[in-house]
Amino acid sequence: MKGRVLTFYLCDCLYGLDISKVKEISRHADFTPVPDAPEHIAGLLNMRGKIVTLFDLAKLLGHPPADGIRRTACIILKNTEDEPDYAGLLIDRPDSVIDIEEAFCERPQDHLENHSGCIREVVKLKDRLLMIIDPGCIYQAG
Amino acid sequence: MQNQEFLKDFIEEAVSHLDSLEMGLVQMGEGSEDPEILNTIFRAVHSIKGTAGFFALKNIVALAHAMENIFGELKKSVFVADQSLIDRLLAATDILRAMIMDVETSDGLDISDVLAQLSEQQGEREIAVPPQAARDDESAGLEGPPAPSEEEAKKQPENPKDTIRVPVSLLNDLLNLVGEMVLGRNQLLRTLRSYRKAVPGLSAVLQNIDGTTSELQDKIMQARMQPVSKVFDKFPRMIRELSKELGKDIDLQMEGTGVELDKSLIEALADPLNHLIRNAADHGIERPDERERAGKPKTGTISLKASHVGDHVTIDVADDGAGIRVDKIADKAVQQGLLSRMEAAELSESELLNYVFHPGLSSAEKVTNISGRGIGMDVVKTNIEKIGGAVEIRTAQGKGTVFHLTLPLTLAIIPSLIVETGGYKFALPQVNLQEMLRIKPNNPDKRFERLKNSWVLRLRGKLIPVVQLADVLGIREDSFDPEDKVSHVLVLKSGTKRYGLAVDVIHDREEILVKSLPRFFNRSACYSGVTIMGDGKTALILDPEGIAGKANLRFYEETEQTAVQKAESMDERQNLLLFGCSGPETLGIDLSFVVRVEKIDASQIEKVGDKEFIQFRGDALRIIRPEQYLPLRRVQTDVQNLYVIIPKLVKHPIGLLIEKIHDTLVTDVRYTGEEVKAKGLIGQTIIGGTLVQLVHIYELLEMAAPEYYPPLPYANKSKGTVLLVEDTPYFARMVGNFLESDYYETLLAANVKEAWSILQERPIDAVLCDAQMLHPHGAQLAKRIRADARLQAMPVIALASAAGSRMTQETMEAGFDDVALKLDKDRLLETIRELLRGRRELHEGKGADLLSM
Repeated sequence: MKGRVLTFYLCDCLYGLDISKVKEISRHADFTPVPDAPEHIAGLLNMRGKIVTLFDLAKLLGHPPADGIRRTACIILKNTEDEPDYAGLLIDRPDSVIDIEEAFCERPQDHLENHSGCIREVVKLKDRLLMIIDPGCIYQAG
Repeated sequence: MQNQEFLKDFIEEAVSHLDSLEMGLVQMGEGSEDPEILNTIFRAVHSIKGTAGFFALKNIVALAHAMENIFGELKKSVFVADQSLIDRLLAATDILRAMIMDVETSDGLDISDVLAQLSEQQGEREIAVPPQAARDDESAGLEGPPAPSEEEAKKQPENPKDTIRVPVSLLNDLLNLVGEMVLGRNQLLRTLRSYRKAVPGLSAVLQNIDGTTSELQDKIMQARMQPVSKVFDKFPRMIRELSKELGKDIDLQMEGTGVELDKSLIEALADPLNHLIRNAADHGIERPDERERAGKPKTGTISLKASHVGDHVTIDVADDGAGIRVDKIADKAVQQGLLSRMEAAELSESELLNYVFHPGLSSAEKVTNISGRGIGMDVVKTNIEKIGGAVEIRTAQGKGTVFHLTLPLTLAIIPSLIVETGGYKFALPQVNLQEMLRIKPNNPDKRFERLKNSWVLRLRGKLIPVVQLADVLGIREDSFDPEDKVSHVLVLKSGTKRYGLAVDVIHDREEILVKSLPRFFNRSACYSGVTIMGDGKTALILDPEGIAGKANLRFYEETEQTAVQKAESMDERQNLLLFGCSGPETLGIDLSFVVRVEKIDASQIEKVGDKEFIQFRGDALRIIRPEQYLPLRRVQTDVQNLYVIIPKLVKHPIGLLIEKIHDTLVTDVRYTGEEVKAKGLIGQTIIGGTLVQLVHIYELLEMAAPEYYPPLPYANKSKGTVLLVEDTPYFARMVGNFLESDYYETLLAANVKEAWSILQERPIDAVLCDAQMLHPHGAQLAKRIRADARLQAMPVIALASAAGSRMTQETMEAGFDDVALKLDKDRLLETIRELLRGRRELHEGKGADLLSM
């Protein structure tokens, strides 16, 4: 893809999201866990009167569960006509917004299989790899 | 593109015109000759034509124009509308609607057929104006209607209230924001509580913000309210067509069309009601020949009645048809393998009836294309429950069936109970909650028992299944411990079944703002929505039906039910307070007789001679112990916490001293077979397997305080015969008692039909008619009485059950002489005496000619 990407860290990996899909970032989301919910849902968040479903992105991406970590930083995605319910992703910390060019992107390799198909493409930055997340996989998980 | 916006407005407006057009045509088809109907439909097509001309929608214009011409002729009485013309006009309305719903393609439609059909009536006259001409007519936009209709169109009444269209999404946003504002207010009040005294003027400001916010929330809720007529108005036409299709005579009566509900509920009601009415027409109402054989009028009646009951709305869909054959339902359920023969034999009638709602179970003898494919009834139930409502069926063989829907006023804000389990908070809609119990260990009356690896709760002699919320949600496992300290159990209603849900903590009641459950939780059956609590945190709203399903509850037979005598009539529901005195019996009193129930301490009771008093609102209030006068066991107890029931509408207030409040509940009272001869009791009934003695409060007061309520002077002959028209057995007995105590002979009719036949056969001096039955039946009765030369002078009194019901223009015009309150014995009897006296004076020749007025 080409355009601006919000990058963030999760389980020591660098991930990115197309900034046009992001509504806002919250460093301390005071969310409430929900019992008997699907396993990749972390809980619900009140965003100024709107209900946001927070997804455990680490679990979705196939990272092994890390004990003792309670993440509170999250990225909230914009809702659309087809997906009126707000969804959010728990992350370790947001990093920055960068411009990327088509030339640096490539399809994800097989070794990213364990990311359950959530990675749309991989961007080769100067010193590391950036994995761009396909928000669609979150909605499918729900 | 702005035009799109206008077009949308046009469609919206046209649809409401179409609705009134259709309604008017159906009324004309039923033989109504009210000129106002014709004016209304004339204006409706005229407006459609005008606006469509503005958008150059030539087909819509042509069709509307053709229809308008016919209405014009009808107005001038060139000819009368016969059924076939009405049918053609209705068909034309359908096509008009189809074109309006899809304006873009409307001009591609060939409407020559329908235009030709409409012009048949006109004989020689050419009415199908070529589209071009119609265009020229309307090219100036809304002006220039055809000459004959000019003044008609001008008659369009100004809307009495200035209105404005607002997109629903905007209202929803406002609702969300105001919900947030309420939370903000709560936080503000909490944060500033300690500064109220320190900051001058702060208190007043906070109070102001507090009040304004609540009011704002109310107003926004109101903005979303719509009358149920939105849904009801479609049905007259549907019944008209179903009657033809089925070869039955069906009359549809609608009441309470002005009752308002939240928009979202109105929308959700359309399908279930549609199905229930079709069902009533198809399976409920018999064919005319069958009805005649059964001695019923040829024309069947389906009635649709909406009313406000406290903080919810009820809608009754009733038919006077054959009733549901419960044995057939049982056979079907057995055939489908839902039940074994053994099980079916053990189920009570109402439990079997509920199998009607089972997917794939249709009681239709043969499958018709109207209903009977076994889809629908289950959908009706789930749809109603989805919006926080409930459905009940009552049926009587040969008399008919009632589907009774109970609905919340609004989806958005519902009273709930906040409960907690395993540290999670949940909201439970109160509409599902029957009672709350504290189960202490070693209580023989209320205890958990293990039964075939699940838990049950023994409650007032019955077994109800009980589950731990924590277990169902997977927070804990097997958390029942009968030796445990104290458990909190909520008794929930799920459909017609009851079960207990054990939680860790019960918090407060709260009005919660309901938000829909994000679709990501579609597979979590136990929740029906989300809300935001006072602290800004989210909480899930529990779904009793889903929890019962997930927990796989086994329901046990509540066999005591069979002791209840089968009700002969379909009665209204009553709101009862169940209580106990010092003995073991359970007593009941209708809450409409009660002002309040005061909690007192035994030490507050003062004895003066042989009478007991308490201080109540600065006065000495006499209190009596019911067990001293009624046939109840008296037990010496030293209970400290007592209650005093303070009755309504009595000249000399006397409180009833009682020891236990069991419950308040809304129920049908069905008297058990044998008449109770005890003074002070109306009768007995069985509620939840317990025998309840219903107190006749006024008789009890007369027994207890004869100095206040002297018995009436003994008159040797009856003062006259009064016909009481009342369909609630409880009130029928009550008012009947009043009348007999004042030496009137009383005849009882449970409906207008019965009343009319009694009036034909017996000399009656006065009629008392339940105001609940006023619309339309009672009013019809009054009108018929007034129209009958022999009866026109007879006093007819409307009986109201709520204080504050006064004589209105409407009741006057219907021909009622007065309105009296059912429960106010003295005033009621006084009213009858007055009217009869007035009538005697008239009879003695004073102004007998005034009667014809």
